[in-house]
Amino acid sequence: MKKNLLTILLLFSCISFVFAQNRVITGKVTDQKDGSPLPGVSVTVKGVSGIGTQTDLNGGYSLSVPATAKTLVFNFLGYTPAEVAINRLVINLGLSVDAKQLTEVVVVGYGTQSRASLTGSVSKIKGADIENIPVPSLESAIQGRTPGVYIQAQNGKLGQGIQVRIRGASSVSAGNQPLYVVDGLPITVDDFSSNGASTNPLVDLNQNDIESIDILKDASAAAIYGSRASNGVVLITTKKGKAGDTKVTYNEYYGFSKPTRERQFLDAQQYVTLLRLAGTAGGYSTASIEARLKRYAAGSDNYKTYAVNTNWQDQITQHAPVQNYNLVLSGGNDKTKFYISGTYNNQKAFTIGNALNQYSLRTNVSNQANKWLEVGANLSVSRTKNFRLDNDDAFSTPGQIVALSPITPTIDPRTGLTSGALDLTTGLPNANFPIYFNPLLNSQNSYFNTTDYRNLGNVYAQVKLLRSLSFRSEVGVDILNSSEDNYTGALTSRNSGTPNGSGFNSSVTAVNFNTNNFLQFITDIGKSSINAVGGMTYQRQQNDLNSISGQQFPSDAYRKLNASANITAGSSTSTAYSLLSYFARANYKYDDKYLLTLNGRIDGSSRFGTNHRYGFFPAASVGWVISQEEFMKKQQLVSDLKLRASYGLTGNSEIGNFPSRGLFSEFGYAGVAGARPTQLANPDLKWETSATADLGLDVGFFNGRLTGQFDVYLRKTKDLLLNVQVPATSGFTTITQNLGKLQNKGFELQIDSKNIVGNGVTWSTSFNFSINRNKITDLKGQVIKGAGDGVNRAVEGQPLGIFYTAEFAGADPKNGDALYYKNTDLGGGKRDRTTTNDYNAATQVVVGDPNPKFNAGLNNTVAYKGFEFSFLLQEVYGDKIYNGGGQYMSVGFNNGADNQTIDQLNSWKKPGDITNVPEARLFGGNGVSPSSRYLSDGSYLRLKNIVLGYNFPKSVLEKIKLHSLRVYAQATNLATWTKYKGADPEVNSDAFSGNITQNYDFYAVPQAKTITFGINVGF
Amino acid sequence: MLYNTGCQKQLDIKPQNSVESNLALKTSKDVEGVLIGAYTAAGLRGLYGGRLQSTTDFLADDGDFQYQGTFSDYTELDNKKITVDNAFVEGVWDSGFNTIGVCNTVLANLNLVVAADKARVEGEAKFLRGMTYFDLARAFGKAWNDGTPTTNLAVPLVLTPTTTIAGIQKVKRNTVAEIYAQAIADLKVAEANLTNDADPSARTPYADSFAASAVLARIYLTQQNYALAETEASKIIESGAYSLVSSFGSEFQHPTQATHVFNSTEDIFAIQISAQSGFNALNEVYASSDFAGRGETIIFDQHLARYEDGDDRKNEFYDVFTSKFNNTFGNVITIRLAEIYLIRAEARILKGGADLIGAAADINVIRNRAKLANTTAITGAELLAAVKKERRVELPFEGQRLADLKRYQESTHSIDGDGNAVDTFVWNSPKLIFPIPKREMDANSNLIQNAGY
Repeated sequence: MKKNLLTILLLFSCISFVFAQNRVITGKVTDQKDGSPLPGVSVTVKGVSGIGTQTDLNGGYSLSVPATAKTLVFNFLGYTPAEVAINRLVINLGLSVDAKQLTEVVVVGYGTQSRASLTGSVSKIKGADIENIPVPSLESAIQGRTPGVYIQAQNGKLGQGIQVRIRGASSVSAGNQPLYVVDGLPITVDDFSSNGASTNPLVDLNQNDIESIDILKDASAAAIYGSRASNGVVLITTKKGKAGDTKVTYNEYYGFSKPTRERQFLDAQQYVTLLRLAGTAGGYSTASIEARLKRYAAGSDNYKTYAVNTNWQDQITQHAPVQNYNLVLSGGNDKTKFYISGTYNNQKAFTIGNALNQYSLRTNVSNQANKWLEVGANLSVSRTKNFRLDNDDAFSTPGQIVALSPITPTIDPRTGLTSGALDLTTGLPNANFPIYFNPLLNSQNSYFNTTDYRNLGNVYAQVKLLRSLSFRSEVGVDILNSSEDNYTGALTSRNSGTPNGSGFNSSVTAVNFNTNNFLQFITDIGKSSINAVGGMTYQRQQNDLNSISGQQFPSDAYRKLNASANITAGSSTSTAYSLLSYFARANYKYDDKYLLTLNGRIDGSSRFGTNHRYGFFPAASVGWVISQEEFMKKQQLVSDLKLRASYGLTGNSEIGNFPSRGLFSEFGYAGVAGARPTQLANPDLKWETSATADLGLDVGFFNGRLTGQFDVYLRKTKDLLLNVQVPATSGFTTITQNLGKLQNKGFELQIDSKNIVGNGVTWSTSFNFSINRNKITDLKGQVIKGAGDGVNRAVEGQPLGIFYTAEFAGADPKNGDALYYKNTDLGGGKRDRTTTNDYNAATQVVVGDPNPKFNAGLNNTVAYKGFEFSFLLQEVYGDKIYNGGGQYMSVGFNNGADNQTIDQLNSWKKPGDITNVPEARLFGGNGVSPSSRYLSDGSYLRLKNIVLGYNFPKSVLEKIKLHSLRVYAQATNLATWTKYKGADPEVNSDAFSGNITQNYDFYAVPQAKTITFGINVGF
Repeated sequence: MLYNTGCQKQLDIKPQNSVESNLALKTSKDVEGVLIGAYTAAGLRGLYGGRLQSTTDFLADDGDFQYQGTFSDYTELDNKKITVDNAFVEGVWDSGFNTIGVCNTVLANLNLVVAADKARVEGEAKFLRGMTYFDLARAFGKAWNDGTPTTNLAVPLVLTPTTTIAGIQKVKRNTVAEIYAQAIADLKVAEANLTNDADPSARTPYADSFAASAVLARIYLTQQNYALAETEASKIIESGAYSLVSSFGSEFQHPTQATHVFNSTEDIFAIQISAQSGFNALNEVYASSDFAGRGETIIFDQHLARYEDGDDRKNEFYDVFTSKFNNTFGNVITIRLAEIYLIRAEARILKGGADLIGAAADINVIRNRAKLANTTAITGAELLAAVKKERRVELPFEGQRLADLKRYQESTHSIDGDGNAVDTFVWNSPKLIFPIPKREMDANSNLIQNAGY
């Protein structure tokens, strides 16, 4: 990519004026490492201006030089420049890659920049680092690889929404996800899921087609994206072809996945024993307890001998193969370059009924039409089919199977069918056996499939207007057609509520049109360098949705809605927004020492009130390259040293398309149309504005062998787009208003070390570490509860999502009652630490924070001869997780006869027992209410990724006529170290999670541990 | 630049799924559409869609049934330990004032309504507003017979729609007497403005004058204004416009009407539910999963013991559930003729110059339909006891019990898992009044919380 980018850049910045001279020097420039030709290397004569050329596709060059010329200078971005004395007519040269990380090229909005001249905060992840990692979407692949980016999957279901927070959450009610831009065009990331659990449109991107991911973190880097930049910007660049012979690469991997961890539940003997105790303590007669047990045991007395001991988690776990096949052709000549890639990816989850099946094709082409015009097109099409599961809050989701009793057989001996399928007395599905609806019935009798057809494409033309001025125009569309097809059969009626099947079908067409048109100006004047860009962009996204629901099917053989006798709902809706923007950026560099960047964007948005339709988002940053100063040149230790500082404004407008309008909506009344007001107009509504200050230090030692980047930042967000609670006596309960403030401050570091660079062995280590502290500074006294139990809240003076509830104090040794600290405010910062068994007498307090204290990642790569070994450790530290399902599963039958977690065996039994598990009382309500009882440490350290590969040596390859051959074994999430009491500590209920509800576990299936074996062949 | 011209236009995108407020109220048809919208608001699950009835019934219940499900909101009500953030209590408040707000929108735009429809539109909007205010006052304020209605606080009185953010007021709670007075005033307009049709097949499902009379009868009975209660009840009964469905079960079970049930000859007012619209929250909480409910309300023997031998109404149970709400697309009946007979019977017994024979006759209408013989009660006290008993077997789960308990000054108690009594609550216990929802208290500093919360 580096070579390639540079080729493009230099094509525009260098013009060779070739006059008749008296000497012609020819030669070939190659990569010193592998001898591959380097096209686009600039070749100039030292001290003579106006004479120069570039190497062609094969690395060759030919340059006429005056007789006085003494030295040739070879320059290529990413490589160490070389000077060669002109003492012969053929000068061949091998350039070596510049070890200094600071020469890296980063993609910024509407252009690229070398890291050396960068003054903003940008993290880069190379595509090569995330190739072939068997995860459903790219966010999981970059987890732990970069500082300041906190990535959290909801659970182990495939293709589900993933939360990405760049330097913390900046909003309470509006979106907190970053802006995603692919090859310059913002893509559609809307969640179109209808089943209560979000899906992730980024699943449609094939991560093997990604050349790089650049994450813009501070205002200086991100402000060019204006009103959508507050949550950071993720720029994804896809792979392009390189001049040279056509390369054919085939890659495949195969593997399987398993759950990382599982929660432990009572077995049959433990269940029967504890339920009997709980029944007696709950005031139930022995007869009624035994009758209950017999009912759960399918009417058999065999529960007395624990003859049936069903591990229900095993029943929802299946063999889970993962396979991926990828064929890439790339190459080109000096005029035209191409990249063609096709992939088939098939992942089966370890949870029954869940799978992801994907085809994708990408073609990227570019053509240098003539000296002043380059045109190109990038196009990808994909089809992703996701076999989905119901959301975590549904009785039908496999994760809830743990509530069933271990004494219940999987097959009911009375019917020979799955337990719950049929009640012999009614002929209907069983209404009170097993204890709850059996999710296996859903797996066997229903499906919910989402199919995405995604077409992501753009064309561009770049026109060289003057020596230092060019114009680029890009037009792109992202067309996403997502459809959902669902049928739940007659045997699911206990859950669906309809005896004869129900169906649902929906279709969404999201068309996202975008055009960027801008001028680029690059020039050097003396010691000054100017790199400026300015232009406009227009984006319009329209989503058209249709859906239909029906019931009453002749039998389960009919599954499409044409067979539904009772259409219960049908709808078509349409929504759109547009954004018209003007942007500009100027980078100024003096003597390679002093750097200045100014940028800004004016955004006009259809979403906002007529009084605030346009917003201006400026940013400025400065850099001082201390290592270029004379006084630094005397020493050898520090090779690079740069101080950076930036300040600027960014916005956030992710609040739906019409929050500023007064609205009436239609409501039908048994076939008669009615309407009523649903939203009050707020013509003053405008963006959330974040002001971010960032102070950074880039340092390199030992000529770049050891480099570090350090950043501290403070981001203050005001005019929060808040759903403000208003008195319901107005007829409305919330109004979207600009109210409130919050802030994020933090520290990030990234250290890269090439520990061993030598013959045979190389070993490099990279380490990242980040701390973010979020705090809501003003909510005008409002307390906003998150979904779920409302234990996650937005409270002034606290981080977003803080756990705020009663503080649990264990079991009363006298009687086994659940105790809570009263925590009555005594003034002067003191609280009453005496305990009470009256839940309502316990003041709710802050009991924990779902936000981690820090995140870290450690990546090691070792190569020896053909072998390469790397592993990535990821750590999340200091967060708490609330088990929302605890009120049912870890409560000593106090909320019903659901199977219990094994910690309930430690429940209070007799006076004097000291335990933190209150007495088990069937339906006794003892300790059920939300409290810190269900909170546990969520810290974890994870072996995120480990790879062992072998590259066959050239000697072997020549014999078998291959260009390259690599075999590898890889594992993701192979080991997890945590004190979390639940299954996997990377969890966020797909039914409840949102801006406020964080780290809330509700019957989530754990993350996958996946082991794959792969082969990569180059022809 | 390419899109410089007409760029303002590019940013002017109109909502298509909803209509902007400035376009929503232009014609008579628009206002009449919002009147239908007021019915849909009243029919929200939080209010007459079922939860007004179910929340008050759980709060009043003394062990006839028990909520054994996962909605902790119902569990709190059943245990008479309501927390200030009970979502269903908040739902009653929020949906109630939403309904009132929509009615106010209709009433503020009556000038757009064509002359021929104006009286009817005003009457229906005031019917819904009056009924809602009466029910909110009973749920969130002290009972009429508990202390001084002219000083006891009920709910805020809001009679104009909120159309701008600046127009959002932090209103204070009005007294019980003020809210009752407004409800009566609204319902009197409704009674006067609305017509009625004696032919049930020609009737619309919307409020007619008898629906207004019925709610007025409820109010007067609550105010112990027995003469007026009898008058209003008699208007309905003696018109002959309504008649009891011959079999009790048929009033509730309509298996042949799979996707929408039409009002019966007994229904005076019912929230309309169909396969495409509305939500029957009583089906949700009382029916078993075989009938699309959650199967979470268990009927105990204590309730079944209230039925005399041969009482047809005792057949309206299966397994441990009531079958009154087994049709998930059935209407939520909020007022039916049987209750009007019982109101009149009670009024006739308690009014000055009691009409005990008339009262007995009214009771017998109800008993005979349930295949029971005439009542043996003779004295006023006996007949009153008979009315109380009939109300418990004729109207359970229909949202009447809390008001009955307070009117009769009875007590109730919470129960444990086996139905044994735990704590007793007298009729005027503050625990039998809903708290003002915490969300509302937080949003409006001018509200005063009820005692006991």
